[in-house]
Amino acid sequence: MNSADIKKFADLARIEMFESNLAKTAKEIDEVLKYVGQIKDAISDDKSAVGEAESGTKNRLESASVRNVFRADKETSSRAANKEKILTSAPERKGDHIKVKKIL
Amino acid sequence: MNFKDLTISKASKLLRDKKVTVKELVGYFLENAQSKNSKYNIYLEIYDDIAEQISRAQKMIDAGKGTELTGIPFAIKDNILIEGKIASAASKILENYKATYTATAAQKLIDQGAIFIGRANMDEFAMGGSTENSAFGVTRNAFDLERVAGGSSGGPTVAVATDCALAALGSDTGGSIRQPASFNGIVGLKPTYGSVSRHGLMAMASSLDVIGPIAKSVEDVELIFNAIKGKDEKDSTTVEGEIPDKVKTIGVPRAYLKKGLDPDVLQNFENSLGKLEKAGYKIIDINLPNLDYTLAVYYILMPAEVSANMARYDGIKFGQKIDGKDLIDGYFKTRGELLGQEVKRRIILGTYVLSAGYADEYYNKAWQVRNLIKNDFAKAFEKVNLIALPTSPTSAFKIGEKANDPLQMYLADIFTVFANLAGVPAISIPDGTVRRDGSDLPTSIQLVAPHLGEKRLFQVGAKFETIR
Repeated sequence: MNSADIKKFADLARIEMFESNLAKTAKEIDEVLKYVGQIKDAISDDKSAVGEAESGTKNRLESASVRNVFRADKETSSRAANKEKILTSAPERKGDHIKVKKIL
Repeated sequence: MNFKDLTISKASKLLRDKKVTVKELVGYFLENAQSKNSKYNIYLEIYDDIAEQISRAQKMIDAGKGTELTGIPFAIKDNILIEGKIASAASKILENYKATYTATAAQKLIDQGAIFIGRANMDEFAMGGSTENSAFGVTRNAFDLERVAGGSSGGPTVAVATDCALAALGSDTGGSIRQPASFNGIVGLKPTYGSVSRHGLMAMASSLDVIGPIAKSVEDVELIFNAIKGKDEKDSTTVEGEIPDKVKTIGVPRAYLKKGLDPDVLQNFENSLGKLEKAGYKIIDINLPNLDYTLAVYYILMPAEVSANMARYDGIKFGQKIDGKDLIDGYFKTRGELLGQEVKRRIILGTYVLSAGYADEYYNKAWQVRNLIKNDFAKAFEKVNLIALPTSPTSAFKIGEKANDPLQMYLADIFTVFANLAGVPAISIPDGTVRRDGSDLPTSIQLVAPHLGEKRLFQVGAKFETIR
């Protein structure tokens, strides 16, 4: 990771980074990446280990089991009441709209 | 009346027997909160409606409708929502954000007449292990003002440890309830993933986050957990149920304990195991082969989820904003200036491990290893009923000691993140002190149970409190 990489990923995440901070951040993230890179050693090329890793125990562990969750088929809240709450949270509003800068 | 060594069950008995009023009880903690806040920096805001909350609770008690939590003063971590009140997650970007709904866990306490004194400090968006990442200043340790409170639930924990609240709600993504509880000598529970609704908790890493209780005793923590747990249609990951609570055997992953553990912290842990053995529990060595990888897996999956969850803070829908020359420039400026260093670091790291070309190497691989870690625990719990290890490898460290070295800070989570990765419940209970620069600093034992095995933690934890 170098300063240019940090700039690129910060751009993807829409974060403005000051030039003066790029090198330091690159060094810090590089150290973390070096540390977390050790997971490459966790799974051998042995097919059974990979299979175990992929399937996991998700069916054995209740709270991790994958299942569909449906809500009751009825109206859950009043849209009008929520509308006002949501609009009040926005930094800028105009009438019943959230105000943003011109897009096109 | 002396309220100093009060627990919830004692306080609640005093209230129901009419020996004290809610106003007297809350008054003690509120006065502490007001007088100690400048010293410890616990509360970001002490609420202005406490008088109304008190009168509502007193009415419930007078009408015979009080429960054990009615009139009990709580601190709430600043990332859990109460409608109409500011919830800032200790971030500049949400400095004036008023919650538009109430978190399920908080609502359940309000329904029982619990009092919320105020919102307590934390690492920004719960990202950190020392509360040094708060945009509003560090919270100081209850035992030594030069040391960190731990984190990310530093404020709620110090509130309880200094009698500025009788209990608190926190959140735990990688140890954020257990580690500060250990640093401040009180009890903290990270419940089973999904056992407490996350509705109204600001999302950090959604596959790891859980709300949990912080209090002075195992019994208190159990009372709160029982009040806040349960299925919630607003959080589809919630689960319900119980497993048999009989505990005979406790496993210890000894091979893992060598890492960076202070010798006297280890000694306190060994002494605790000796006492548990004397009390009749069988202590067994267990092997969790992939435990060595937990921290690496955590620091890939957590930032990945952080980078997705933090995308909502764009200065358009809520919170603060900084104007740019056009729409997109406004996003960059708002996020660049109003998010703290650690939050930005994790977003960038998460963006990296999720990006094309790296996702296979990091994110997907980490999920595979997470499955191996879950397997390890499932296998271990076929052999033992509980697992024990220290909560933290050290006692509270000095303010500033690790602040400029993110990797060192991350390594402090070494004994806590596995429980979040495996989704299992874990409780931190004080087990002694160690001497550092003239201060006696608390250390803790951590007990870990299989999914939905909280009862085992409460049973053995309460026993441990009587023999430690």
